[in-house]
Amino acid sequence: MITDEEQKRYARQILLSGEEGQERLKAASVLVAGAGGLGTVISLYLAAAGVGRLRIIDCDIVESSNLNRQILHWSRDVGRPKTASVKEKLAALNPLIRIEAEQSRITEENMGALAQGCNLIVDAMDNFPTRYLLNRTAVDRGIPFIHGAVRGFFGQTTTVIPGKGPCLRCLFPVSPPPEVFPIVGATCGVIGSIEAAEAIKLLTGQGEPLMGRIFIWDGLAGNADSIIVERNPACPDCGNLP
Amino acid sequence: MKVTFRTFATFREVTGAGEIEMILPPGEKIRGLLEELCNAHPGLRERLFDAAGQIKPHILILKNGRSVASLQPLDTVIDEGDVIAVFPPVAGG
Ligand SMILES: [Zn+2]
Repeated sequence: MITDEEQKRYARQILLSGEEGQERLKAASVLVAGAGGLGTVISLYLAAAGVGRLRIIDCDIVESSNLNRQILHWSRDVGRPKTASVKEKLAALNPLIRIEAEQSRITEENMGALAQGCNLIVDAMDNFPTRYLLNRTAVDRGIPFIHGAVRGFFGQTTTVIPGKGPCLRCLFPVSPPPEVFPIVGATCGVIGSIEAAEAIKLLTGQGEPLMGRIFIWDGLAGNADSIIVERNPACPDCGNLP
Repeated sequence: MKVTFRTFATFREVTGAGEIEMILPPGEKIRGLLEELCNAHPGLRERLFDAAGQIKPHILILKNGRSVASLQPLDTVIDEGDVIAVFPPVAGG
């Protein structure tokens, strides 16, 4: 049930997807893996949209070099855990939702517990090894996984619906080499916003998910593209699904 | 035969354009197309290939919008009118 307070707060969304859509958002539990450049954008929009339970995982402390892009961390937060910083801002933005911010590193061991009870996993990581772990967890549990990554003015995103479209491992069997990546905050804004929009679409059952397609953003050229991609029948992560 | 080459992100910075029209001999393979591009655009070779001359494993090669899911993508034969795309995924967050 949507309360009067929620009616008012989400009025512009209810115009789009009705009270039923808003109820679906309220009933949802979303895991946001990371509270950095992408994670602060994603969790900000999902909290504002009224996702009922947001579980945000990050192990890091806010550093001043984060502030060019990680929009929920401010100058006064340097030295604080990122999870404490995002929890405070998101709770002030939307007191009607539940925010579980957990300061931990995502590992093979704790992944299952972190994803417990979640309907959707959103990728806000900065490395492929952890992304592969998120992908496999989503595939094993049959829940959607929204991938996003950025570098400089460039980014990519795709939505994994296990068994229906390719998974992250089908698309990117091998991790790009690790690096200290250059980045402008606006790129995180573009890709994080698309990831948040994908999440809202899936949860409210609207539109066409970015399944079987990689959306490619080239901010330098001012250009967006999408390429069609298919499942790999020999994929080690999802090849066993029908 | 006429072929279109497309690329993205950092590769586009080197080639100067996202889309390049090329005339190639019939039966040309992806290897030959990339060789021609590397000769024309300094800096592309080290972005595409490792020290052993193999295509870097994380780079996606697509033929007509579909991933060339082969162990030897460079040996894939190109047909008249094909669009060959090379996409270097990014990894930051
Ligand atoms: Zn797969």
